Amino acid sequence: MLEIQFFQKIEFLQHRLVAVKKSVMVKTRKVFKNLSCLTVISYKFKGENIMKRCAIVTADLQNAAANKHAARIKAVEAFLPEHTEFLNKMRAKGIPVVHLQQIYDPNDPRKYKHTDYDKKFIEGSHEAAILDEVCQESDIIVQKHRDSGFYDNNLHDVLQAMNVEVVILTGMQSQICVQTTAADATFRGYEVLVPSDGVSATKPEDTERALDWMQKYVGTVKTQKEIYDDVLAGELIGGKHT
Amino acid sequence: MKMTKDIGRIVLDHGTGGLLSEDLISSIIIPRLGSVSTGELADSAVLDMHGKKIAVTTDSFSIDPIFFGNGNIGKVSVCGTINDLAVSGATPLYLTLAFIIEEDFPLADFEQILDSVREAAQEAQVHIVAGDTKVVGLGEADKIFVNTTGIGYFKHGRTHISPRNIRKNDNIIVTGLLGNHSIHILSIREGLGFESRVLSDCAPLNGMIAQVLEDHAPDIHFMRDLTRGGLGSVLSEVVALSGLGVEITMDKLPMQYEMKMAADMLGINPIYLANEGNISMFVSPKATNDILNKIRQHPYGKHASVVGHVTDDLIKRVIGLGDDGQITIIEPLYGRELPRLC
Repeated sequence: MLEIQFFQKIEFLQHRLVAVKKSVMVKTRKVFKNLSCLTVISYKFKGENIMKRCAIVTADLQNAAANKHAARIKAVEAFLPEHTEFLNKMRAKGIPVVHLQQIYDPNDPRKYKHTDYDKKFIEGSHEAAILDEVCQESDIIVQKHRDSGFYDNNLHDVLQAMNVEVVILTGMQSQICVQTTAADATFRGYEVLVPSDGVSATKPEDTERALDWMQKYVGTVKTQKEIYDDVLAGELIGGKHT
Repeated sequence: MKMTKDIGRIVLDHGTGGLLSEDLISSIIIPRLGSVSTGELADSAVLDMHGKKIAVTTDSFSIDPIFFGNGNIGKVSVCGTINDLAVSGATPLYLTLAFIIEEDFPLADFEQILDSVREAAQEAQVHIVAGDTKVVGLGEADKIFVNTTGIGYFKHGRTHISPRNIRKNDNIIVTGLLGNHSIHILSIREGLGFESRVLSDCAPLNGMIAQVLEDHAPDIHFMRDLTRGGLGSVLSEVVALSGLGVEITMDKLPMQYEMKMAADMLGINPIYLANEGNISMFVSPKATNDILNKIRQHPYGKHASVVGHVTDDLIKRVIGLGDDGQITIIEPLYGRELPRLC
């Protein structure tokens, strides 16, 4: 018996686009072929635990971003201690942690991307560095210059080298870099998990909306504890070079 | 709602095809030009040349970024003007091509743009007959801006395509996927992750339009390309110009799944997004199926769909019907949905 989760259709409801997510149990390949669906999200044999290799990818947990202004500092303080603990527990279980590091590109053709704030993210600077609390020596740092963590860099190669199938996306901001990286990860064939208490934005309502969107379109939203429980249950194992 | 005279200066919203663009033209440009302007605001001007009708149109392009996944500013500059001529029912013949280039612009990039101009012009079967090149200092322009002017003629003297010719019960066909061009450009500009999944629809549509006109010209009452302001702005304009209403069925709008995802993420309505290879056609009910089938046979029209029809209800508005019966009024766009897409 195979359980298939899929998006059946997209529709307008109350001025919003809504993706209809469904799952079915099928016995034969014929039924699978006849499914009326847009995108298959996942499939697994009922009763079987399929171990999937995963990695945590954090977005923009950097000094300049975390200390941008008072509201941001407050938002980061609210989520960082538990998230740091989550990262430590996951590392202890062999889950690799990859930090996306936004770096200022002096040649960025977008003229509006050369503000004083953007220029704080100069490569090698303290401002651009990953927060001490979340960064360990074993972690991998991948630089990026755009919102999506996959844009024109080697993140995909890094994950592929570790045979990663599931990307656990955390960090900030939920509605920009986390959300776009989630979309890009899906398009590249990764399963996306987003811990609702492992992402942050200056405005809580932005995180709420981003989580709704990610749950609808590209991934599964769980808590950090639920994801850690998946690791303990053996459903998620750390990505590893072969 | 602040209009041009209240604002007192030019703002980005004046260039995005919405209400403010229209206000700039009608309240400032046309009155100021006075009798030297015809005052007509169609996609192409229809001019009498010693008894023969010709179509003339002009457009400027400032797209950012100038290079995108499946095209560049050169391709957009040819296709945009070709399509403006074609939707007026004209057969494009000639283009002019003018550049404003920022000092230090790489020659290799310029050559690549010229290659795209050549390829698009070859596909559209037009000749470039005049051009101009101006170079400005660093920072005085953003890399390269292009202007093209197009000239066409009306086969069999067909000049009936006009909003005045739209009839009650006309069906509305949209020939391609909505919003892809805008989402592609925006995704490349900001690195949103959709750029490889959602490609620009930029294409010269004169070939497809000519095929349909050949057999069905009398049944095609009006056409408009869905560039700045998208379908929403075109339908609002049709309502204003025709004195009729429009009803569209929201789930008939042709949209790619990933484009919807992106629009929902950004909180923007795809109905207002700019396209560069997509038009709306207002056609008589009796010929709708034949026209639709013909369009779908063309590579640029395979996603064509009948999205609604023209009404003469008391409420002269653009009404969107949801599949749950919910009614949405589609308002004219005031200013920018997204800037510098074409």
